[in-house]
Amino acid sequence: MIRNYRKIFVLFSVDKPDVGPNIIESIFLNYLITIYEHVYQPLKNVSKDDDHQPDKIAKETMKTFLTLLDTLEPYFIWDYLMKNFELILVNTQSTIDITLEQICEIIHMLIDLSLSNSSIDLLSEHLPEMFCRLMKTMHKSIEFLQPNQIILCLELLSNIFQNLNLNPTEIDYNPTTDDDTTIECLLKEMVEKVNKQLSNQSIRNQLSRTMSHYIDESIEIYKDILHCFIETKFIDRNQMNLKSKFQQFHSIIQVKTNENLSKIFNRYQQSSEFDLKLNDNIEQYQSSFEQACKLFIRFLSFSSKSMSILLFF
Amino acid sequence: MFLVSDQTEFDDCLIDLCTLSLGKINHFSFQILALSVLIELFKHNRNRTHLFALTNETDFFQYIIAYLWEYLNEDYTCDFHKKSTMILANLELILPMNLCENLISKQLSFVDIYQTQNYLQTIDDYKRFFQLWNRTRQFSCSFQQPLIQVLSSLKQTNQNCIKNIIHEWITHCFIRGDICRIFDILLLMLLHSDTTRIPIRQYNSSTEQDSTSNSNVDHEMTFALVFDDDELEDENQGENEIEPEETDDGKQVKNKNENVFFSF
Repeated sequence: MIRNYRKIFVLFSVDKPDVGPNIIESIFLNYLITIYEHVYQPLKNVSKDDDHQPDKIAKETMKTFLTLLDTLEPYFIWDYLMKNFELILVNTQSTIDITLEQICEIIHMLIDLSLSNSSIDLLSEHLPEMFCRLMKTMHKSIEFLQPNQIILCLELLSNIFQNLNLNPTEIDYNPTTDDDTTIECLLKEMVEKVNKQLSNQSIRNQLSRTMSHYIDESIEIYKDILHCFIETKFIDRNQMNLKSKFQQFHSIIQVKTNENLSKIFNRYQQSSEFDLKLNDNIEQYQSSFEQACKLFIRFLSFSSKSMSILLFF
Repeated sequence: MFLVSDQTEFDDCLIDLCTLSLGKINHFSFQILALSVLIELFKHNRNRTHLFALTNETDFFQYIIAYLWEYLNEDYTCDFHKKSTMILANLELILPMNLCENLISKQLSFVDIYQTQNYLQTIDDYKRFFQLWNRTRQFSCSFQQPLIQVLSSLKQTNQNCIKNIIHEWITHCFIRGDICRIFDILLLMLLHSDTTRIPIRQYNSSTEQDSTSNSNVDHEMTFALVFDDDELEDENQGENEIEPEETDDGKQVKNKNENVFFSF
C-alpha cells in the first residue's frame, strides 16, 4: 500500500502539474492516514525503543513524504485539513470515511513534523489562524459532540496553543547525570541552543505579534464555546436556563448583610432558591470540562502575561 | 447580557460560571473548576469591573466563602480541604478590602468564647482555620487577622480545651518548621517597616527585572514556575501523618490523580 502511494507521489511531485492538483484532494487524506499508521507511528515507536532498527522502507517513505510536503503550498495543507476537520465535526453524516480521532492524529503528526523539520514550513506560520478556525468549528458543533470527542478537540487546541506559545528566552538547563558533564560540554550545548534560537528568532517575533491578536480573539470565541458546553451538556434546557437562574440568585445576593459565615451558610443551605440541578449524566463530562477549564486558564494566564496561581494545584 | 449593577454587563460565559459557582449543584469538582476559571477571569483587567460589581453590590463572594468554609470541616475529605483552601487563598488575593480574611476573622471572633455551650463550635472553627493555614504555605496571602484572633484567644479564653488545641497546633507548626510564618506576622507588627524581610526569590526576581527591563515578559513566567506538585503532595501527606484527627477517623480518601488537576 505504501509502495503504491510512493509511486503516485513521486509522479506527482516530480513534474506533472496537470495531474497533481486534480488527484491530490481525493487521495491526500487517505495517504496521510496511511503515512500516520504505517510510517510515522512505527518510526516514533522505534525512536523510543533503541533495540529495534528503524524500518528502511518506512524511513524512505518518510523522506518522500517530507519532500512532498515541501512541494505543497503550506496554505493548501492546513486549509485542506481544516476543511476536512469541519466536515467531520459539523456534518456527522458526511461521506468521508475517517474518524475525528484519525484527523486529529494527522494534524498532531503534521504539527510535530513541521516543528521538528526546519525545512518544512508548512504549518508554523499558519498555526494562529488555524487555532482560531478550529475554535470556530468547535463552537458550531459542540452541542453534538460526545465527551471523548470534546477531549480530542481540546487536545488539538492545546497542542497548537503550546506550539504558538514559543518562548524566545527559554533556555532550560538540564544537568545530566552522566560523568561527562564538563564545562566544555555545557558550553557546546549552550552555543547550540543559542544558535537554534537565533535562527528561529525572526519567525518567533513575527509570530508573537500576530499571536496576541489571535489569542485575544480566541479567548472571546472560547468563552462562547464554554457557554455552549455548559448550557447544552450540564442542564436540561427545557427546564430552565442559567441566565434566569442567576437572576433568581441575584435577587437574594443583592441584599447585602453583615453576617458571619455560619449565618450566611445556614441561609444558603435552607434556601431552595440556590438549588441547581445538573443533568444526571453530568459525570461523563467531568474530564472534558476539566480539560476545557485548564485550557481556558492557560489562555488567560498567557494573555495577562502572569503565571496563574491556580497552576499550583 | 445581564446587568448586575447599572453599568456592568455580564456576558453569557460569566453568568454560567457565576451560576455554577454559587448554585447548590452537588458536584464539588465542577463547582471548583467553575470557581477557578472565574477567579482567573477576574484577575484580568477587563473583568475587574465585574468583580467590583459583585463585591460592592452583592453578597456573591460571602456565600461562596461561607460554603468553602463549611468544606474545611473535618467531616469532608482531604480533597475538599485542599481545593477549598486553594480557592480561599486565591479569593483572599483578588478580593478587595481583605473581604475573605475579614469574614474568617469575624467568624472566629463571633462566638462568645466565655460561654460553654458555644465552645464546640469555636473548636470546630479553629480547626478549620488550622486546615486553611497549614495548606496555604506556598501562597503570599497571610490570613493575618484570623491568626491574631486565634493567638489572642490564648489569653482571652478560660476554656482549657480551646487553649489546648491552639497549643497543639503551634507545636505542630514548630515541628513542621512553619513557626517562622507566625513569627513573621508578629514581628512585622512590632518592627519598623524598613526592617522588613522579603523572600529571597522575590528579591532575585526584582533585581532580574531591573537589569533586563527591556526583555520579554515571558521571561519572568519561566521563573515563576518553581513549584513542584509532588513536593506539595508529600508535604500534605506529612501533615496528615502528624495530625491524628485526620488520619484516625478514616475519612480521608486521598486520590492523588484527582488532586493534581491544574498541574500542567
